[in-house]
Amino acid sequence: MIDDGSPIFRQIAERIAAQILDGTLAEEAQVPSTNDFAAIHRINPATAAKGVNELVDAGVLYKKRGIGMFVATGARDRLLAERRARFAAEYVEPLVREAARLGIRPDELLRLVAEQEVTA
Amino acid sequence: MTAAVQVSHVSRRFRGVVAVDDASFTLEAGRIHGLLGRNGAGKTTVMRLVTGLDRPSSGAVEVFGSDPFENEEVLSRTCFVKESQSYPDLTVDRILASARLLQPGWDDGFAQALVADFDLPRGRRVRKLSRGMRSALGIVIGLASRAPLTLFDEPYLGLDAPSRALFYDRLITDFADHPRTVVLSTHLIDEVANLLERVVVVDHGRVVIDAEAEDVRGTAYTVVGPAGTVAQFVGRREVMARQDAGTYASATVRGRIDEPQRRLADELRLDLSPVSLQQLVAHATSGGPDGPQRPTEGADR
Amino acid sequence: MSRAVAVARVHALDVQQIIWPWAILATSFVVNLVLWVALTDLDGFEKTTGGLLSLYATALFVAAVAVSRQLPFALGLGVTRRAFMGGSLLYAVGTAVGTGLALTLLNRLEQVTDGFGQGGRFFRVPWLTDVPTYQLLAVYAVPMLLVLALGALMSSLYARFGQTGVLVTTLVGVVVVTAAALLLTAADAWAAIGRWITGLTPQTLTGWLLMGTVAALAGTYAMLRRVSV
Repeated sequence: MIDDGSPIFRQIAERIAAQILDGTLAEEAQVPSTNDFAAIHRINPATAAKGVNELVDAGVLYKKRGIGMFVATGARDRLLAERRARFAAEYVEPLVREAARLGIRPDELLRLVAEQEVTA
Repeated sequence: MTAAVQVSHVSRRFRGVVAVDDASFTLEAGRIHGLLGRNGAGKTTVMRLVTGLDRPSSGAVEVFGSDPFENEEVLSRTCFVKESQSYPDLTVDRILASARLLQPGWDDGFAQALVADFDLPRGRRVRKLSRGMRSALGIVIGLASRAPLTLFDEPYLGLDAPSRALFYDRLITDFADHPRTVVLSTHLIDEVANLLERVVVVDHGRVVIDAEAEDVRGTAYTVVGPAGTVAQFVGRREVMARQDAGTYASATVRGRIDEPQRRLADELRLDLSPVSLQQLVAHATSGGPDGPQRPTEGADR
Repeated sequence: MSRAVAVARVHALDVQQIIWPWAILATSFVVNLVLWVALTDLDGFEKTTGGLLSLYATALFVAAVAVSRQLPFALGLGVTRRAFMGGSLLYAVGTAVGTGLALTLLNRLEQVTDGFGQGGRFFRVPWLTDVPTYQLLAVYAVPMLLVLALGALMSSLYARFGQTGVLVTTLVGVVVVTAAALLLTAADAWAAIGRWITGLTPQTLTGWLLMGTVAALAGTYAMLRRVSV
């Protein structure tokens, strides 16, 4: 469990979200139970449950009674939208700031961005 | 949320030594609680008061709603794995058979599985077991008892790291399937930090922290960088500890890391890292020049 | 109630409590038997012994050890001191009755075989065991219960007061006995004591021992109540 100072339950939620975003967890796929999460990561089941519930509240996961937790339809889109909204503040701002610090002009920055090849 | 254990203004004095000093806290049922603190802080005394092995000099202890002392209804639902447990001169098998007779919730299948997991020699007498194996035996008893209130007092004396990991694994899995109230007293805090839901920290007999584990974790962070920049970043925030090394400084600041702060630190090229639960507890019980901080209660962010 | 029974069963699992006293007794008996056979032609050799005492002496020691080891173990597993006392007493009574039965049987066997074919006397204690069979059980069982209670008492004294406490208690005991002896001498009461002793029958002696047992048990419980293990 990597400790970045954020609450453990959030780290669990982030981990599941990341798996949904990169396609490891498909929509309508079953997610491990909270007890399984607890066992795998060696954390308290209540903490795991809290992380899962956060995603349920956000509409990313849903519960099928008696069976388990599943990825909701449209979960990926929902997460993408949320991440997009945060993208500017989390990534673009530091990038621009750093570029400014290094004296890289905006047009040069744009060129660097365009040149960057992204292997998805 | 029902209270499994309620301790109200409890003190325990021994010939002029105050082992527990006006302690008050509540342990909710069905959760894993950490009873943390340094050696000799009073953790064991507290556990003995809770399990009816000892009586408070003043104050009240309630377990499942009543005084545990000589209370069969309460104590038959309790299992206390002590740090240095003394056993009758029997084989491992017979010790387990004895525990099975005395613990109503005992699951023998689970016990046998644990014996295999920890590689305990069934036919060997307890006095011939190594320190680590004796601890493992205590853990087997504590887990297989499935007692509604189970207390472990530094249960892994002599246990190597893999065996400790095994203990945590089995505890978590069994707790998930059979929820009960677990109290774990330890000074190896970082190993169990993720298992705990609530922490009660004891220092010199007093309760100095009584909060959700989550609220204690991450309530401080360390800033490292050039001394001047660190000072600029810290501003008027409460500094818990400070270290200077040449032109660099490291300051441990109370508070949580939030996004604006993280960005600011990034901008200033300062290194931010969270303080572990172990460090926080150590700081709260240091008794050093900063002294133990005033008691922190609940979730004040 | 069932907690006490559970405690008794836990004691029963500790078979050493039975094995040691009887193993020692058996050894003593075998040694005696061998000597009887070997020295049968020795003039004036009386084939008698106090070997039976070894059973009771060992039992006292075993009881003390058992209580000191079982008590902390049981308390940690949620047994009340009351239940521990009750269960241990149940076990002790069972042991005493079992002892009584076994010794009664062996006594009669000795009688029927005329001293195991050697004219020896091991299980019969002159005067004390010369009672009807149904009383013999009590004559053998009560002293056993007494030593078990005394063993438990010693153990609980130690648990309650520690080593210093036991020493102090012993000293106090010595002082009390000495003082009593002096008082008796002063009051010239030894003759009366002598008369009382000669007036005892096996039955009344057993009665007194039983009362002593009850006192020891009461003392044990009083100690246990205040013990923090």
